[in-house]
Amino acid sequence: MLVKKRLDRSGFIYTLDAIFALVIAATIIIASFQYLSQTHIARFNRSDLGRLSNDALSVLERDSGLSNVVSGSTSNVQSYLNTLPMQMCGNLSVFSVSNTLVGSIQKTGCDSASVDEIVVARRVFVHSNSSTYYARLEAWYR
Amino acid sequence: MTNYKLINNRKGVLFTIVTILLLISLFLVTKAFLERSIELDKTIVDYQNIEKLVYIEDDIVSNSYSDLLKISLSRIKRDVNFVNITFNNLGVISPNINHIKIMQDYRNFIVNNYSAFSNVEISFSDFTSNFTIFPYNASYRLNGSRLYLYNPNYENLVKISLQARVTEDNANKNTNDTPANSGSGKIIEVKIVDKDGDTLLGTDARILSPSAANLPFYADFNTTSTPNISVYFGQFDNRNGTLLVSTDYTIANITSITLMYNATQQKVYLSAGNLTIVNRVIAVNKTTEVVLGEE
Repeated sequence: MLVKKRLDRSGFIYTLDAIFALVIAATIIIASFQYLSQTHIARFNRSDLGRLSNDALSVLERDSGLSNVVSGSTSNVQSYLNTLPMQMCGNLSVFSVSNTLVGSIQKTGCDSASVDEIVVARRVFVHSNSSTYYARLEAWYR
Repeated sequence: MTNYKLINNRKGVLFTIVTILLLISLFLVTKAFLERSIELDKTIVDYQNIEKLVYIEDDIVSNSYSDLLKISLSRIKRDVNFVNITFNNLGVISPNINHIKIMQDYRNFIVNNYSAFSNVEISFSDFTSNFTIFPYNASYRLNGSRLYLYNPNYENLVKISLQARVTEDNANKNTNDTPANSGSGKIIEVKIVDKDGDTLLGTDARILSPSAANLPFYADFNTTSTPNISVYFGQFDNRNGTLLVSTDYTIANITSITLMYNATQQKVYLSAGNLTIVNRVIAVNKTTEVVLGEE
């Protein structure tokens, strides 16, 4: 009888000890995962996309691609957008200083409808008639 | 006799301590990772904002001035004694072109609209249809049908070679004149061609005094309103050493000009004012001189 009582008490202490251990371990592990879940690297992605977009606009300005859009020719801008990295999509729009849309070209096979995050880059350029326009390139990952 | 119970108890305590230490380590590592990640995030935001300023600066400074005024610097060449500054194009002069307004419109768009798109504040100083050639302090000014090149330090000026193309036809040429040589002065070489490239005024070189009111190189046409072009060098508006190219009722493109100066030790560059960009997100600003070209 005395042995049974002692065994019961030991079992209760072991159970209590195990529960305490589990609670402490679970609390620490959950807190750790909570911290880990708060970290994100989205800005790294945006940084690359922003740089690529700005560089693309610089190239298009220097090789007269943007001016060609104002003149009505979009073929070389379309070709350029199609040669962007495979995972990158882009939509280029050209506006006059009064915000009138002059032309818009999108990379073939891209659709921004279900995209969470879009990076926007802009560049001002001067057409051959000394008029000022600006280009807006919206870029996103597939 | 070995006390197994005591040994087992000690092992249990050691196991518990090691487990707790491991769990605490895990916690501290993840906490440190989060803090580092937040710090890195702030650094990236700062970096992106600074990078944005650089792109905006490049956008405005790179070639807008030359595109707006149709100016193209070919080269700045230095030898032992002289510096030659050569332009492929130094602008189009016409009574129908308002160069000051072109620059004003561009400036207004950048300051009012482009800055709002980019969430920055942009301001210009001296960004007009003028630029200055340092260290000679020669200032270029383009306005409508007049192109001025003031040379306050004309002592260093050796020679100006200029070629202009007018939109008239050689067949309609009426008269042309070249000034007489001064006793001493600067070499001024002028060639004027018509719309097809036919010579209206040959490559005539004259030595002209920078402080005298010399006659201009001149050509006019016997069509409506008598269109004409003149290239003057000398004193103008009490400023010695001034080059003035002007047209009436016609358009002239300054297709080539070479300015030869005595060489100095200082670097030669062309400045068209200053640009200041202030980032509204982080407290960073950037002031840049708009340099059209340099050695």
